[in-house]
Amino acid sequence: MGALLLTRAAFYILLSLVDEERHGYGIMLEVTRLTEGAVRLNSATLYRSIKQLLAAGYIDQIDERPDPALDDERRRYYRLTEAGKKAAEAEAVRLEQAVRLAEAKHLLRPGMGESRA
Amino acid sequence: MMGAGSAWLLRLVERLYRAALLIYPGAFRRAYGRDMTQVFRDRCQTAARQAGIAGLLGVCWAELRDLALTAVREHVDEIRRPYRRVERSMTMSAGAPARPVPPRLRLTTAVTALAFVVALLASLNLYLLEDANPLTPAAYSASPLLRFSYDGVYLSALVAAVAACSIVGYSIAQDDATALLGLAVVALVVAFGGFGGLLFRHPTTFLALSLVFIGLLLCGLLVGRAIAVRARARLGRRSAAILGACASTGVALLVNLAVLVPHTIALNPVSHPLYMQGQIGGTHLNSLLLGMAIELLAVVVCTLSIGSALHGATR
Repeated sequence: MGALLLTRAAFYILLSLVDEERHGYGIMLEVTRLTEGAVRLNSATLYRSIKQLLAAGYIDQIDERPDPALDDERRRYYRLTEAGKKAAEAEAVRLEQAVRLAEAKHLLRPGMGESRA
Repeated sequence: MMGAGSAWLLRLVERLYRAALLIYPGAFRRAYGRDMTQVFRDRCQTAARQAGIAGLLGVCWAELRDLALTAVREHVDEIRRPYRRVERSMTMSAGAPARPVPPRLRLTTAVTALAFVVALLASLNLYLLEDANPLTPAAYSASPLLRFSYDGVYLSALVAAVAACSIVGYSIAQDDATALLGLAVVALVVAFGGFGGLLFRHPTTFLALSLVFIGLLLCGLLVGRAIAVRARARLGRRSAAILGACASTGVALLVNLAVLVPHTIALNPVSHPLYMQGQIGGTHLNSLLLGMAIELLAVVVCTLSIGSALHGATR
């Protein structure tokens, strides 16, 4: 295990796992929902990121499924670890600082992000 | 929206996607290939349901582009962190850790490499002699066999070079798909480097040489594959693949020797009598016979060594 510089995809994957365990396609749908369609992960990037997050110890693969009756038993579920939560928090703080800096430099105006989304 | 009859299109793109996964390193594919295919299938079904064929094609394009980019990154990761590759293959694949290459197979590999070098020198000797000898054009007009056997010697040497590279490939790559991908690239480079110039000057000759080259290569690879399959249970996948690559090289060397003999015989009726009459100072016969004899010895030792390694693996 080692510290991993979070890519955008990896950060969104961690965010999607904050509330509950999800399988790959569930993560993909949740990221699309969270970003209102602005970020759409493809399968290859999703699983490359999952591999890196597993290696860094930021997520775990779980054997039991949250609701076996509702899902395909072959799907693998993932959950956020404590280290993953801390890494996501650190990244969020870093992004917040970057936003504040951009606002101070008048690069961001209120409502700008909403109009882009 | 897509009709029920268009389900075959979904199945087709899923099969194509599964085939495209072959460009990934084996360890990654074994660990995530099934999950990636499942997610791809889910995504395609949703896109087809919501936006019809246009939506499906949009998803396919995005997925395949992403797949190509990440495959390159995965291969770069594999090259940059070779020690992790072994660790990953132990943890991600269902199999046991890679077995070490047995000493007998190491010897076979060394003998095959030596036989390849000897055959290459013998072929090179032939070209140098023919280039230097003023009687060569006369010999070629006297015997139509020479043109074919000359090409045979050349092509078999190229095939042996590709097969010898596959020994290195299987020793390094640790999985079949990566080694085969590398082998395909090497074969293309060797073929175009060896006779690619003919593509523009003599396209028909280029096509004929390409067909012979591919045929010889496939023969060697199939023999190698058959031997690898036989030896896999005892030697393990990687060592068996190396033994198979040695056998592929051995087949190409046998062909090289087999065409070198008639070539030499067909060449000498012109130059040998002149040598015997003292009209020229040298003949193809002496030097070519020596080259052939050394190559014969090397190929016999190589074949015995491969046979011995296979026998040890299957008894």
